Amino acid sequence: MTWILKRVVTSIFMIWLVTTIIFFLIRLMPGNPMDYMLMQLISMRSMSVEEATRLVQSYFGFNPNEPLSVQYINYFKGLLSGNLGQSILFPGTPVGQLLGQSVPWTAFIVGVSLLISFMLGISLGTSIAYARGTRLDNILSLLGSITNSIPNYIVAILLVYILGGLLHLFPMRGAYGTDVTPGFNLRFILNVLYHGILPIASYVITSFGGWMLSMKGSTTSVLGEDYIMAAKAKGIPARKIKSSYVRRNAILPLFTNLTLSIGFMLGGALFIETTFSYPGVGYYLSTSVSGRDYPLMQGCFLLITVAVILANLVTDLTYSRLDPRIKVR
Amino acid sequence: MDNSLLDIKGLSVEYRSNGKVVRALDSIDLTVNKGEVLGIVGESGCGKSTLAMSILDLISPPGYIVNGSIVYENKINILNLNDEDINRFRWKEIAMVFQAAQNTLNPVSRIDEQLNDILEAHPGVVNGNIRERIVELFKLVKLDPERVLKAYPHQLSGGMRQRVAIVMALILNPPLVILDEPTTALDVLTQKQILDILKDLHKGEGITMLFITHDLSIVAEITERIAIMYAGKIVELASIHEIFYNSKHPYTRGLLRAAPSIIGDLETLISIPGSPPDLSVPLRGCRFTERCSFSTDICRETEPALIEVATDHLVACHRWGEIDGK
Amino acid sequence: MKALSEMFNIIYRNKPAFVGFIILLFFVLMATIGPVLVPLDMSAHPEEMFQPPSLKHILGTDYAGRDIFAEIIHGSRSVLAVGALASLISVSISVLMGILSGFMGGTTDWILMRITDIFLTIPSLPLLVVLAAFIRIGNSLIMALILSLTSWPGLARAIRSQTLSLREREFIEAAKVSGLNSFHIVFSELLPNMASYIAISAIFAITQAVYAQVGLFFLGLAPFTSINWGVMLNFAVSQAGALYSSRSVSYLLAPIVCISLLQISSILFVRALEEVFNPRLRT
Repeated sequence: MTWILKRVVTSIFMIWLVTTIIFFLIRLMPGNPMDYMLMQLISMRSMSVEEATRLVQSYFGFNPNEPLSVQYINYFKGLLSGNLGQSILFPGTPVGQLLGQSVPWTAFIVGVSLLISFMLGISLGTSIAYARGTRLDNILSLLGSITNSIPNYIVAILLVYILGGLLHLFPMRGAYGTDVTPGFNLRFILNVLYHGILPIASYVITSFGGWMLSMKGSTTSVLGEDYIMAAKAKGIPARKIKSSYVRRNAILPLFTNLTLSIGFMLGGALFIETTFSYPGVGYYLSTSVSGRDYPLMQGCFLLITVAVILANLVTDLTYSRLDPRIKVR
Repeated sequence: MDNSLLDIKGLSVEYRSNGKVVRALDSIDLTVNKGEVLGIVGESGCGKSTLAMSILDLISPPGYIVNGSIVYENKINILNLNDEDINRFRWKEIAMVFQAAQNTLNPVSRIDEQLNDILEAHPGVVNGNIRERIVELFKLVKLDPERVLKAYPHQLSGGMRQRVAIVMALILNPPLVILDEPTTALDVLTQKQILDILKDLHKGEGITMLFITHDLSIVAEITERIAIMYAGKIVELASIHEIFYNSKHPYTRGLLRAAPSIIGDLETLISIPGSPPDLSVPLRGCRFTERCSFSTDICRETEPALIEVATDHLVACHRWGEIDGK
Repeated sequence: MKALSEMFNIIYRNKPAFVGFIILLFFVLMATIGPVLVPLDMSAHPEEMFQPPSLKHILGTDYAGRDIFAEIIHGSRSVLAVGALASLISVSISVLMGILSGFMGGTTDWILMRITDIFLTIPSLPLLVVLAAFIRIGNSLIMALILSLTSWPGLARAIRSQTLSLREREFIEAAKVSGLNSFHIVFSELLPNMASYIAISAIFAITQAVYAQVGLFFLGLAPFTSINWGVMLNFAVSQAGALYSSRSVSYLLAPIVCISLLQISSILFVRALEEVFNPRLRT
């Protein structure tokens, strides 16, 4: 129990730490965006200092002229009440709203991709572990290594170009078409899935190999364990051994990989979403960077980081429940 | 002999890897009689575990059974059974308690689930109240069923896991149980406990046992007949009395001398010099030649056959007659 | 020398790894000697734009009439230079942090480990992107610095644990070790021991750096000064509309092929190296 508590506390601490770092990043980095904006507003739109300050404050969520400590407290007050400032690129739209819109799309793509590549990798990995040394093993292992090395955005470009631009088989951008009305109707859902195929494919193609090879290694070492031999001696059918004895044990070490993957995929969402102009958090992050929309950038970065921390926490907690050998300290 | 439960003839097993071929078992002939406790004694690498695995046809690449037959109850050649039949045969007729049973239990499964796996794999074998039978067996091995059944293997001590392994081996009531070093890696007290349990089981249930070990002192406690193995061959096979007081093979002598006795005078321990031969190299003559103090030219040239030199006492040595019995 | 020949033997036997090694070598040559042999003319020749591959322009020309082949050659230098530099800096930081942390212990260790944890938790790509927005990335060095910031934690941890175990051993063996002495031991014993692991991590770091920089350039998230494969991708998509038409196929595909080959060959090679240093992995 105390271990769970410890992990939760650590996560909260991390979240606090990250938000603080972002706060200082905005204020202390060279090319301070707020001063820059202040300057711009004053010189180009000839605003008074007070007007400009108020505008900057509403965009960023705090007053740049107040002492640091006060700003810090206001910053946190704002965060906790969901006020992340106003977006510059989308004038009048609070950052929180944009993030709220984009999160489901990222969650959809990353979630489905992770699920598919995990399951595909696990089943393929088990198969080639059983078929170790054969042609199938060699070919699939090599294929897995190769596909895993290619950058995911490269695969994305190729898919967009060939299947989208050349063959016109799939849509090249967006989460859903302009001719569909959002809502819980079948047409919309199918359209969403249709738009999601290429981004998901980009992820799956470049990540299933890693799962496959990990599972292969893990299964191979489990197959050499004594309890597998003992299970055979007991006359337990091969199918049952494969599921209850081999797979259950072989899958455990892969959960630590899951933690890393989530972080990687959320980070990689940046590349893939931007390539497809898919309106997820990553897309908004890169647009905000290109467009110097600092409040939005701050919000996206914060969101992604918090998501990673939470995902890691969840994975850790789940893993401890799956492996009976983990002694909860 | 119609009293035989298991009849092994001409069994040879090879291990092949990296171009090397190791002959782990060479023409083993052995009969296990109903109701007896037969001990198999030899140092590590002599092939005793390979023998145990072969009986249940568990040898898989890089190991290969290249020759021989293992006939059960004068009817079934185990090595000829197909996949379906061998799964039904295993554990129901012959069960095994493995070496270092701590690793032979599924780490992510509870004990009752693992027992259930066995029962599911052999439907209809255990009739009547299964729960009662399990509790009965647990009592026999002095374990608390309530506590142990719901536990995971890592929550039990080594000795407890070994006892669970015994319960698992007995649950289908097999006529023959093979025990491969069941007490190695356990402390002396637990060893005694397990041996006592096994002795009770033999007396009470009349189970035939094949007891494999490297430890002569343990074998003295429980077996009736002993086969001494060396470098993949059986070198002596006799009753326990004959082995201890009238052994005819230099290797057996060496083993006896190397085992300390806690009663009697403090004798000097004489260990057998040298180490077992490299079995990947084809051998000529007797395999014990290099380490034998009685070896002569004939030993180097011809392999001695396992011959009966007295009633139920077989030896594979050219010079057995010249070795006096002490 | 014998170790080297044995290493080469293993790589040679592993056919894909050997091919990877050759390709890697090819790219290194391309990056070092290529630009000297093939001149780059970055001025625009609109009359020659989108020409198909020919004898004069092996890969054709881009949207401004420039020779794609030359761009690839010169681009390779930028990609590999930044990658190698980032890896060098990253490994140096890792080794330093790891040794300091394991060696000093106590509060220093605790602080350094917290810092490592922070960098491990914050997802690297978003961090990179945000940093790229704030810091004017003028040249390759700054780019490499920023890239290295996100890849050092992993190796640092490993080195720290190795240092710790070494420290334990030394402590037991020698009751009194003067501060200078043990530091020297760390260098003479620890680093050679970990040399193989460090080398492998270094190559991995290069692949990570290549992935990140090409991606950043491609999406226009980092400013560029010299031609780079990622930059070519960016131009192909934004300026040449490569995704929508087929007239600039080679402009799009050439960098894609090069990037993919570079990454694939690096990974295959590193996997083989892992087998070399860890015999257990050999099938």
